[in-house]
Order: sequence, then structure tokens, then C-alpha cells
Amino acid sequence: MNKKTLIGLSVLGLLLASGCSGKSANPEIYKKAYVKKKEVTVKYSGETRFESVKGSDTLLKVFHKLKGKKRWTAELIISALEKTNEEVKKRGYRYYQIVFPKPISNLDGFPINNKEDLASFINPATSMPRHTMGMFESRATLMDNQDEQNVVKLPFTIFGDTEFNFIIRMVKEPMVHEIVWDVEKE
Amino acid sequence: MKKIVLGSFLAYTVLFAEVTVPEILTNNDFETAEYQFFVTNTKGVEITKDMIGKVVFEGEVKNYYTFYNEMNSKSFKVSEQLANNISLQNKALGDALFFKDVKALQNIGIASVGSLALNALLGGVLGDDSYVKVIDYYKGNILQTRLIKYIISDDGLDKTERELVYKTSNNQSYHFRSGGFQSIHYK
Repeated sequence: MNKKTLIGLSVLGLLLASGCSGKSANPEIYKKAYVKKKEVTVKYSGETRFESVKGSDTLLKVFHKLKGKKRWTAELIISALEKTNEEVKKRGYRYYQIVFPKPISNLDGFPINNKEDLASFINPATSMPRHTMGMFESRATLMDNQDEQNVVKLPFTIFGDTEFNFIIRMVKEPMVHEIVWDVEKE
Repeated sequence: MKKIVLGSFLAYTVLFAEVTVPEILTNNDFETAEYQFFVTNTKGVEITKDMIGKVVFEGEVKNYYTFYNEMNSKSFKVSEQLANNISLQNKALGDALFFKDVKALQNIGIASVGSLALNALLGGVLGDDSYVKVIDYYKGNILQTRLIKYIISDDGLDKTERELVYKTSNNQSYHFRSGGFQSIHYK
């Protein structure tokens, strides 16, 4: 192998190596990006019912249902949480935790404690950045359990009711590690 | 005319909030990645530069719940002792404790402390690629607030990329898909 071929091959090797490592070459280059803040008005709809849990003054069952099969579960979640906020305030507490269903139980460590994030968690499609999606991109999300995260009950037919049932624990003075919802926060 | 143009420009910018994002996450045109980034500030205290952050936990959601369950078990034991002591003097106070609520939940079939509770929980959350970072912020030696950063992604984020997402924001949650970021506010 002559000298020129050797140099040529090493240059080619260098180019290939840098091309392959393109993604992790400079991971710390940051630039400004914009988060589009979408404002959505949700009117209270459906019906909310509260029920005490036997043996406790601070546990409360919340039942919320909307007539028909609803894919846009944000409406259901926002309505239920706003009503819960009012109820907790009325009962003289400032904080509460969701303790059931398990996938959203703050008592078990689930970190989300505001209605925007919870609605997006339960149904990611509601928070998709559609303004920048290409023509051929799917409008379905790539993430699993995109409809209800096993939290909302969707009926099989349009004649059933869509339900969001959960249990809360009202808290007067939360401990340091406790994840609580604050009714004073809008 | 100028006023209208300027006015509409302002209205447009008001709708956007800035985050600093690593290029590596937004420049890949060939692969679609999607993630949700949730930031929870437990006490709602703004993070300032004079605060010192101490990472309490970092890792997969499964390990995070194991960590939290251990913390709950300790609180439960302390609360149980306290309830026994207080109940003798003031029954109402004893009834309001953490221990009492966990017991009442157990009575309706919902375990919240111990391995049973953990198994019931993990069955429902392992479907997604989820990662958590918990940071305690101190001013001097006093704990100000706890920040929990939570990422749910399709399988598009590796360890380095997750680290980069954690750094993007301390105060806002968003949804990312193919170069676009969005957050929703419900009125």
C-alpha cells in the first residue's frame, strides 16, 4: 500500500468516524426554543358526587361522569378536579392528595399535582405540539396508553358513560416529602 | 398600520415561553421522538440562584416508587407510634394521622404501604419509559422545596438525552414532538 492510499484511507476513516458520532459529539450545545402555550376554556360538565370512606374523616371518594363515550378526557378531568378543589375548601382543608387509582396516587409518590399536567399525563394527545408537525406525521402519540392511562373508564359503546372515579386524602399540614394539591393555587 | 403589526407581534409572542434546549434533541429530522416533561415543585417556591440543589433520587420510575415506598413505610411506623400516644389524650388528633388513613384504605382493599402496595402500583406504570429526578433545594441549611422532574418518553431517549431534558426547565412542563414544544393552560 503506497503513502497516498494510506493518507486517503485515514482521511476517509476520520470522516466516517465523525459522521457516526454526530449525535453525541457536542451534547452541551443549547439553544433557545419556544414552548407554545395553548389556552383552552373548559366549562364544567357532567356530574360530580362525593362520598366519605368508612373509618376516616379525611378520605373522600369522588365520582365524576359524563354522558356518552368521550375521547377528549381533559374535559372530564378538569371538571372533576375543579369541583374537588371547591369541596376540599368547603370542608376546611387547604391540601389534598390523590390516593387512588394507583397510576396517579400521590400517596405512593406520583409527582403530578396540577390539573394541566394530570390531563396531559392521562391523555397525551391533548398536549401534542401539532403546530409544528409535518404533513405526513401521525396525529396519534407515540407513547403508550394514550387514551386513559388506565385511570378513566371509557365505555365500550356510545350509550355508556365516561367516568373518572378517584379517592382523595385531605391534609392539614403536609409532611416534607408528601406530594399535595394546593386548593389556593388556581 | 405599524401599530397593528406591532400589536399582533406582541400578542403572538405572549403565547410563547422560552426554554433552553440542547440542539441534539431538536435537530434529528429522520427519527421522530416524543416525550412529556413534568416539573412538580412541592412547596411552590421559586428556585433562585442562591439555592443549593441536592439530588435525592435519579433513575427509572420503578426504582423511584420503591424508594418512595420505603419512605412511606418509615412515616407509617412513626405515625403509628404517635397515634397510639396521642389517642390516649386527644382522640381527634390521633384520628387525623397518616397511619389512620392508610388503615382506612386497607379496609376498603387499597394497600398503600409495603410490598403489596408496590406490586399493585407497578403493574399499572411499567408500560411507558418513565424516569424521575428528585432534587431538594436548600437556602443555607433550610430545605425550601422539593423539585420532581418526570419524563415519559417513547423509547427515543437515551441516558445522555434524558440528562439534557432534565436541564431544560425548572419551572414549566411541556410536551415535545418532532421539534415542537407545547403546554396547555385550562381556564
